[in-house]
Amino acid sequence: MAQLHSTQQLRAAGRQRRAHPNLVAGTFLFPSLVGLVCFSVVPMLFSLFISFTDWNFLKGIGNWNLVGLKNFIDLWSDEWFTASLVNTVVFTVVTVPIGLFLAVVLAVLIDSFCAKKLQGLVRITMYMPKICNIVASSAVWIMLYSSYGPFTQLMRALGWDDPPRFLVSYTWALPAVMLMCIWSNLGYQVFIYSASLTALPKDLYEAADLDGVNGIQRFFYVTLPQLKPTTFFLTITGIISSFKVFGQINVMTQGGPGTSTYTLVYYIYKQAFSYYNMGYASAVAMILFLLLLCVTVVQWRHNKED
Amino acid sequence: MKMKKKWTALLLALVMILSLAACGGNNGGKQNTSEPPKTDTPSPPDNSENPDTEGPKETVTLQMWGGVQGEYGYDALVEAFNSEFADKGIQVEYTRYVNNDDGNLQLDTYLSAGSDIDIFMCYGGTTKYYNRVDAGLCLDLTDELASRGFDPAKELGATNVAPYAIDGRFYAMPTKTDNKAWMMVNADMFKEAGIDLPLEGWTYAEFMDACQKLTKGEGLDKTYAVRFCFADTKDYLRAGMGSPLGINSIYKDGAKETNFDSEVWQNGIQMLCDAVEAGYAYGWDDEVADDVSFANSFLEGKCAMSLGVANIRVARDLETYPHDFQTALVPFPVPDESYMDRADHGIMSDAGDLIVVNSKTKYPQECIDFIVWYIQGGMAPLASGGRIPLWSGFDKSSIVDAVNEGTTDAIPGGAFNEDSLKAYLSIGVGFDEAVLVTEKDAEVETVFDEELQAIMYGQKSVEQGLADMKSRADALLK
Repeated sequence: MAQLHSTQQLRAAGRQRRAHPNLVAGTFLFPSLVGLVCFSVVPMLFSLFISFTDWNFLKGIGNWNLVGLKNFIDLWSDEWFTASLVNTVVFTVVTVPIGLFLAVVLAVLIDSFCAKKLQGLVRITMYMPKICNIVASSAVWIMLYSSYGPFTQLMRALGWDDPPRFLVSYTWALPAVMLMCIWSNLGYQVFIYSASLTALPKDLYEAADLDGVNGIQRFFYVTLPQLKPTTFFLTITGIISSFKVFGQINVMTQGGPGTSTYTLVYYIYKQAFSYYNMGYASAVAMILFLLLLCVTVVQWRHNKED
Repeated sequence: MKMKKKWTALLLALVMILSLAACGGNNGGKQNTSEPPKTDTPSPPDNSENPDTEGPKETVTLQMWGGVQGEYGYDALVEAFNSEFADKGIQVEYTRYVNNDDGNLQLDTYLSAGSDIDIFMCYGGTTKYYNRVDAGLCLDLTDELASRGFDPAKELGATNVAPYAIDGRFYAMPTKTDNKAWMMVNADMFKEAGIDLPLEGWTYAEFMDACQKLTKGEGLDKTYAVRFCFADTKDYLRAGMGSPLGINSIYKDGAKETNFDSEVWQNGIQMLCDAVEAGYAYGWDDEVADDVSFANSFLEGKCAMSLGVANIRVARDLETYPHDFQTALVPFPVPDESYMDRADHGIMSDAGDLIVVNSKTKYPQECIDFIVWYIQGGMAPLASGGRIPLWSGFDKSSIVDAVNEGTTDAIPGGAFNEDSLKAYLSIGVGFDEAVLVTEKDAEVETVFDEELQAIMYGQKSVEQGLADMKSRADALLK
């Protein structure tokens, strides 16, 4: 009997021991969880719900009719949505690879040819656009692209007699915004690559030198494979941020000319806050969510494999 | 020892939670960031210093939101009201919101969230008004106005107020009249080119002849004949080109389909293309890429005509925008002689600038007192900026002097041509039929803008662009 009593006491003590860390962890997590639930989970579930309604923002909460899948069906015959989807995919497919390639090349050049004392300064300088306000940097690029701006003058100096008005051209507006976005993200990507480069094992380079490889071979066969995890991380985050591009579009082109620079997030904004069609805008947001979920699942699987 | 660490950690976590909660408390207390921004309107007079003030009556301060800068009349208006109503315990504070998509969104969000806005100005014609009434944001004014002996039809004109009656109830009152189908021209340039001001109206052919005479120079020194305002609102183009079709120039058949298959639209858009192609007008891409505005083109003498009359207050502000030429108001041209009977675009005279009381206001009586005062002459300080009061008791002849007041020293005869102002003030007012409105107005306007842009960029022919405009817009109405 005494032994049984002792066992029960031990179990209770064990439960208490386990409970304390959980209580501590839970207490620390509580504020974040409250924020997550209030500002992410609840709005997401609400957005999912109203994507099945015809809710107009002005009519206030509760004044909606359930319309089933109508919003999701209508999307595919909506020229604005299809243009936004195509533009977003093109934007991502172009900006992510080009941005990463430029970033890795610049990071290697800085690492290889820049004096050690200057490397930090160069990286910080390149990082500045990332911390610069999007509206401010977009305004500067509007000026650069204007008819008598430096960028257009440079094109003329290079022999292009009649360069287009980049931001108001059906053909050039999207590439012009892409270039600006590549520039603004470049510093961050260089920063991450530079950090990875310093951690690469030096013995591989010594072995490569002994084998007599030249600089280009060393870059493609030694450096790039070693940077694969970093490249993967930057690819995933780049895709996600490209799918969410909004600020630059809103300031520089407002989706125009025509629908040539409409992106998904800009279209969500237009439907929600210009036309007040919250139900329809939520349906577009759900499509965007599904696309980003696919990207995130790929990242999870990759992390698991690693 | 371990227990001590755990309790310390637990204590720390609790402190953190309490700190966060404390931060939240501050935010929701004195410094509530969702409050409307403070304004720079003059402070209301202090009642305690006024020996005539009746007893200790609590002063009510109404919050009013409007889309015009305080210095263009609202500061003076507020000062006059506060002075006049100090002893009645009513004061008003004015806050300016920007009348664009973002500004209207801000206003709608504040109204929906139950803010302390009491009175607001509603722009954008009937569309926004109907939506806001539908959303329950506007107080029904009908009975209170009647109890004060204010008959909207008598005071403001039956045809002017008719579009704003919903099932016989008024949720807003129009306060001013304007005509988007009129435009501002440089009277000195017209005189120099030997062109008479077309105050009685003109045709597209006459307009193009004038454009040819007014266009001068090349490159950066070029003076354009006209700015069609492609980079701004397209309301002026829609009003000017569509006027021959009547007030419902966009819709027909009970708003079940659009009018974009009409030859009136084809003639109008073809005229725009011709003017741009001939180099008389800024192209759409010129206006956007070079940020061509009323101030940096018309007021700097770089173009002779600019659509719309909304910038009267800017054109008479010689301190901010110094210039030495006289401006005149003339109607937008009509397609040909057969439309000259409606060349003054009287049909497009719009009773606008709706004054609305927030349905959630705590002071409905005081708000209606203010509205009646505002309409019956209180808004006079706005007249010099071109906001012509709609009230039948207002002496319109005083507007000419008010507009030119303080400008005659710098410009002989004043900033505005007197005959043209009189012509503008004398045009007919009112609609000839019910205004058709749909929930898709904003999207239809976007389709119009996009297809017009495609035509102006040469992406589509006029015929193709109009056909696409019609099919896309009609699809939205189904």
